[in-house]
Amino acid sequence: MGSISYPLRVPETLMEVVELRTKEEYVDKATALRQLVYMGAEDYVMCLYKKGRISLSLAAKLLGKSVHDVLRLALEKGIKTEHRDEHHKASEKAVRKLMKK
Amino acid sequence: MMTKFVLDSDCLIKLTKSQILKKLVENFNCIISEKVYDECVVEGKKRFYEDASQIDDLVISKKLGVRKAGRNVNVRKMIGEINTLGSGEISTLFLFFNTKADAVISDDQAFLDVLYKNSISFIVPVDVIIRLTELRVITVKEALEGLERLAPYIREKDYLRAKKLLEVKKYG
Repeated sequence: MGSISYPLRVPETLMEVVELRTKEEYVDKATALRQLVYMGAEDYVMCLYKKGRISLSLAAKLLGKSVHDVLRLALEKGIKTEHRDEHHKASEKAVRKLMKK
Repeated sequence: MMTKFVLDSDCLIKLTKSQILKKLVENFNCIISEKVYDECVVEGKKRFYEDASQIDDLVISKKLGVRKAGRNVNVRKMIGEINTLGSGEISTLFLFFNTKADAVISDDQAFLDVLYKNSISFIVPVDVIIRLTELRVITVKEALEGLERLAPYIREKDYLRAKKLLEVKKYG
């Protein structure tokens, strides 16, 4: 996965969290900040996935993970598939019409 | 001619976990795109997911087909404005149109939205389990066990609805 540099001003309080992480995880400040940004991004992407705003395949691409990883992550976060009523009706109609022996 | 279904990564993995996929592909013509094969099998095997090996076994035994999705102008137009799908779902759409399949099987809400809005037939995995029971492809016991394995991934309301339907079939 490639990386780019980006100029960014961050709140002092966030840098305190970064300091904490450097000590807890034995990493340098830049790594700690990158990890925190990634954790926030992961939560955001999974939130979009939960709402049905993005698909499994897109979530996997955005997070640089496999689709299996995303489903496991969803399981850990208690994210479950939610079908709208119209989806249920359309699926029930299709299954009766198409799945015959 | 046997009914043809196109499966995406989401339903492929969930139906594998519920141990229903094998029964489905043995009784219906099921295909996946090369991209979905990469997502589920190639990437899954790299990370040692057991589901990936189980899906690959069905591909190797030619029960589950892997096809080139190709391109389709109508699908391009359809997805032109859509930025909610990944390459796996988009390749599934191409494959659906290019092979003149009957329906897509998926459990992905963002994908189902696109399918519904474009009047494309789709079936969700829970309905596959219920229907295979009605067709006596699987027993009620197998269906209930499959549903239990699927339960962590689906909403409780959907789980209970399916369980109730299956128990009615079991006990009459």
